[in-house]
Amino acid sequence: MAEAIAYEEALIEVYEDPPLRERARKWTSTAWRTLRTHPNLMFGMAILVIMSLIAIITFTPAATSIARYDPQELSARERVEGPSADHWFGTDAFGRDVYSRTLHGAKVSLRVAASVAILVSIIGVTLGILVGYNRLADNIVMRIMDGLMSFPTLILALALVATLGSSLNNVVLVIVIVDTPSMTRVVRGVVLSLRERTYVEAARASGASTIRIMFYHIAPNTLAPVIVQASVFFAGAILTEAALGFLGVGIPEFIPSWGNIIASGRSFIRIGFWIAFFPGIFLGLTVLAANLVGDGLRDVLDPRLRGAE
Amino acid sequence: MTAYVIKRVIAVIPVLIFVGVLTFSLVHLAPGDAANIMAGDYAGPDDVKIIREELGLNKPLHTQFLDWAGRTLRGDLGKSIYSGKTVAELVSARMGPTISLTVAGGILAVLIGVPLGVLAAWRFGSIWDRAIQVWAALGISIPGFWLGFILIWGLAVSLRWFPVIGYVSPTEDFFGWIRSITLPTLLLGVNGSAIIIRMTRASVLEVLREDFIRTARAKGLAERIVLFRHALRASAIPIITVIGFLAAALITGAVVTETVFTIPGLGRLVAETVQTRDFPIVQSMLMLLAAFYVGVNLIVDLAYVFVDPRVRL
Amino acid sequence: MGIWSRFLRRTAWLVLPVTVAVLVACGSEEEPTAAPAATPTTAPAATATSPPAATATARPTATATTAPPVDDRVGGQLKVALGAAISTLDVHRTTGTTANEVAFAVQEFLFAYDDNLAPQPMLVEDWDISSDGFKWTFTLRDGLTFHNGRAVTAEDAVKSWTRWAERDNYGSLIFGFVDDIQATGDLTFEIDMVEPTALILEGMARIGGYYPYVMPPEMYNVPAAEGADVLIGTGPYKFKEWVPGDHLLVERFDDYKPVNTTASFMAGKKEALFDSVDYVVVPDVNAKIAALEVGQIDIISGEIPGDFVDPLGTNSDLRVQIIRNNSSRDGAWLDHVDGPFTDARVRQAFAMAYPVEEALLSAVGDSRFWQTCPSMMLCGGKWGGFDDHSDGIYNARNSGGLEEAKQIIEDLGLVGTDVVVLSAGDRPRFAGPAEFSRQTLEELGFNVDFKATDWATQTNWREKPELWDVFHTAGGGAWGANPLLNSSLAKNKYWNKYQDESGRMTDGMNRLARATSADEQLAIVKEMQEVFWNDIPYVSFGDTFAAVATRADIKGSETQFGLPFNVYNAWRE
Repeated sequence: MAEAIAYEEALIEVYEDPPLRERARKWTSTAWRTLRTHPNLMFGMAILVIMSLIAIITFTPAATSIARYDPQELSARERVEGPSADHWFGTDAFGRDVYSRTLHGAKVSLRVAASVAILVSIIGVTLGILVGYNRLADNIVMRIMDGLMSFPTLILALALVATLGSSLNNVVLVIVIVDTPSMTRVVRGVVLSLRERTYVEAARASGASTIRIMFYHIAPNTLAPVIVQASVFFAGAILTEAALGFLGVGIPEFIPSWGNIIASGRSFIRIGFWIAFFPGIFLGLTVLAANLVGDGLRDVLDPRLRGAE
Repeated sequence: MTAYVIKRVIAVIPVLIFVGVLTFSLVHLAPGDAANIMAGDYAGPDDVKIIREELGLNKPLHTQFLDWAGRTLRGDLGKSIYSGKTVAELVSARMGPTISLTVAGGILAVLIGVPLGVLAAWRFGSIWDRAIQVWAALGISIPGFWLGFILIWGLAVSLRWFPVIGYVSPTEDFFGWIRSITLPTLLLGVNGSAIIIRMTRASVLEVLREDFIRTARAKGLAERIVLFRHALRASAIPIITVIGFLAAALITGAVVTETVFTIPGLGRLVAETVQTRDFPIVQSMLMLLAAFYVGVNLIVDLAYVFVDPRVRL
Repeated sequence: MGIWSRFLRRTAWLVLPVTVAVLVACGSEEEPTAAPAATPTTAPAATATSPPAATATARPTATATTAPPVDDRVGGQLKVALGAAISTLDVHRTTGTTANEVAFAVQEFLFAYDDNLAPQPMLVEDWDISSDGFKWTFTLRDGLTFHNGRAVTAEDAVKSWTRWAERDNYGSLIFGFVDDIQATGDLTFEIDMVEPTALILEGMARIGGYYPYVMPPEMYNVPAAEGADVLIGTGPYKFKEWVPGDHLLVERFDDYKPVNTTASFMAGKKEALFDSVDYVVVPDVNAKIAALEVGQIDIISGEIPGDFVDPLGTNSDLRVQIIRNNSSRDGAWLDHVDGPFTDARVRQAFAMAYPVEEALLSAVGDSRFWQTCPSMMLCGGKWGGFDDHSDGIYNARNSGGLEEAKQIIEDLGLVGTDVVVLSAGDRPRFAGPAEFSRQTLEELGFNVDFKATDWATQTNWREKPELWDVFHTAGGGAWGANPLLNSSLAKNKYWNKYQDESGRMTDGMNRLARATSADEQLAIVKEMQEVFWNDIPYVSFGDTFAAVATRADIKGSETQFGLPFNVYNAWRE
């Protein structure tokens, strides 16, 4: 595992700035070797790739090639029917095809998860670097973050959704608000430890501006912990969305997110288990995959673990 | 030490002010108010208008804010729009179940999480490690309400080992209490253990690589002693941190768990009062929960000093 | 609902002996006039605690339990699951069903409806009406006390009834006829009329909407804003404890003085046979049903989703029934003061195109749980069941209605107009109809903005006409059976803000309130129905039936109307 990408190597690379092509080649071979030696990571990646493919296909007109029915098409006379050749995962309370809804659910749930992970990363890195470098900003921003963090997350999300109204974008926004403080903390911690490192001091001594140091020397090095954290938030966003759906305040019911489909099957667990069961499997697998990827990346990226095996 | 505690407590004040303003805005900007819900489904516009006036819900927002801030500063947390009961009355009636669940769930989480986390770190990269990691990932991947349904249908409805709904106070019927909290505790424990496993594994791994462990091993100490006497103790700080974090996670989990098992605790109180727009209660509950969380963090910070002599203030 | 005869009082008394006779004929050897009013705990098994014909599963032990001194039905606790938290104990100020269900056990009315929906005296002993109909005199039963020990006075009756009338639309209708109402003695009060009406007793027995409970000053003098935290009345059970959002416990009131007439729906003799009744809030329908199956609760208050009827029906520990003699009207309510539905032609087009059967299927389940109904009022009621003026509008989608409606919208140049459909995520029953409204409006060429929120938000949006155009709800009982009690049909009274431009609906209401013969009333209702299908105050889907479930060993809880709310007179076998 000595070749694994790690902080310190990465630091040196950034500082020494080797040719791009060289770095890319090295990265690819390292990545492949890493995957082979970490089956959990490999499994997680594979699931995420499959789910992403489903999400992308259902986003295009080709959706009908994998999901035969319109996920919103109502057919009250075929309600709560069990799995059959026509409806692989059965039908729900309004006669909608659960299989089609589940596949289309990948699009919605992954969109929520990816939006959250990306937005939180961008906001977290920006704020984290800002507060790591500015005492005044540190005091103000971190007090606000402490305030946000002092609410239990689901309860804050519940209150926020009640205020903002439940739409897909608002659910994303709410989860971003809830997750940003911990991302900011993580980045701030990295920044605080990096700014005293020798190579940063060297850069400073050679006359680099603060802005340059922040974005060329420090920001790239927050990448590893941010990716790990983002994968956790990716998984968490899917679950939070589902929990909000369960509490009846999530994304509007007719939009087929996994959380919504499961929530709509809640009253039918007894007489139509399939409504909640199949999307539950998809949701569980995806969240599991994202968490395994997060754990795997943590092991791979954390220099402190190198050589421990 | 005293100075440190004072400093920490003072630092809490701006946080609580922020929390207060935020909860007030959240609650009052939310569409819908208690008048409609109190009036019921058959009521019309005239009824709702009268109720709203009677309850003072039609006053301008800044007036309501000043009223509320004034009362809160005097220590008056307000009373329920619907029942006229004070926050203190409601909280004390609802506290028992939540405390039982979170404490029992927390203990179970630690009992499962710490040994498995240590084992995973000790056998890093082995099949044990991978299996435990998958368990930990599963524990935070399965939606709580989904697992709750399965537990209810399997163990409560089919086998009838446990009650389906409700909570029994331990002073009333001790074994009834045990039975009523078993399933929710299991649910919270599985989820909590996953969090603890991940944290324990990471911190023990880190410590195992430190020099003093090498020294201990070199001295020929039994692996068991190295692991439990040295490694685990040295990784106590991050584990304490996560247990503090767990307190908050369990409260979040309590909202869903109490809803699934129909247990009248604080989590359900918050969810219900948000849905019925019982503003005074929602505000005070959010404030209290935030204060609780801040308090737990304070205790965690103080525990560092106690556990690790290296932390000097 | 309701019997509108001016001579209602007399006919009502005629009904009573008939009822008793029928019950006797049903095979009981009991003495119909029962034992003298002993305390409820030792009262004999007596007569009509078992439900009459509609739900008669003939109480098997009826003849066995005649021995007066010891009644083996007495004792134990009944657990009732409520579907939603009790909003307030100030029951004059809420139309919420859970609050009122609890109040039925604790508080009483001056009059109460019997099985024939005729008002019978409850707290009133005797009453009289002057021959010109301008003066009513009432005398309360002597020796009645509230649960707090206070004697019930005529003043309490007058204050309670007046306070009820402040909110209830029936109350305000009645008080339009009333000149003055005052207590003239400890137990007597009088009502002076501006104009005679037969509605007075109906108002004292009112169910649906707000309920005219008689309360002590400790309750009626407390403004709603202070929030009542006790429930005091004269009923067979007294309030013991309330943990809001969790449970409410009532206990037997040992000094309860029942009336000596046979129990019949809400009227007649009431007995508290259980030591206590615990109303537990169980919002989740799965949890509620699972708890019933394992016996943690005995009665599910209100209805259960129709989908559970068959799976639960196989469990011999449970009694599951579809209540077909008590229905509700489901529909889509339209905004009459803003947006495209201000035009009656657009409302008609929407009604023509509406897939009412599909909407009913998605709301309540298969066809055992609903029926299409072309009348303005519920088909089960005396003023419903005829299809006058509904042709081509109601359930006309598949007979050319959809095409005609599309044409109307196109001719009016409304294709592409924005329409806002509301849907409440926490009210699953209305989620299906909301989906069908969206689909239908899209078919008609509208641009639908589907706003899904929670109920609390929706109630708020509903107040502002510019924020919505369609929402969904349902109403049952008197609300659905009597146009005078249906606020959706009254000008500006409900959220649809029906405008009644022609004034014919309002005129019909005024005449109906004064009509004296059944034929005259029916003729007026039919005229109003013409206005209904022309104006479309709301899009009516049809009548839905509730399914109810109780433990099989709980007897006597059903009323003729199926709803198992009367915890008095119920016992565990």
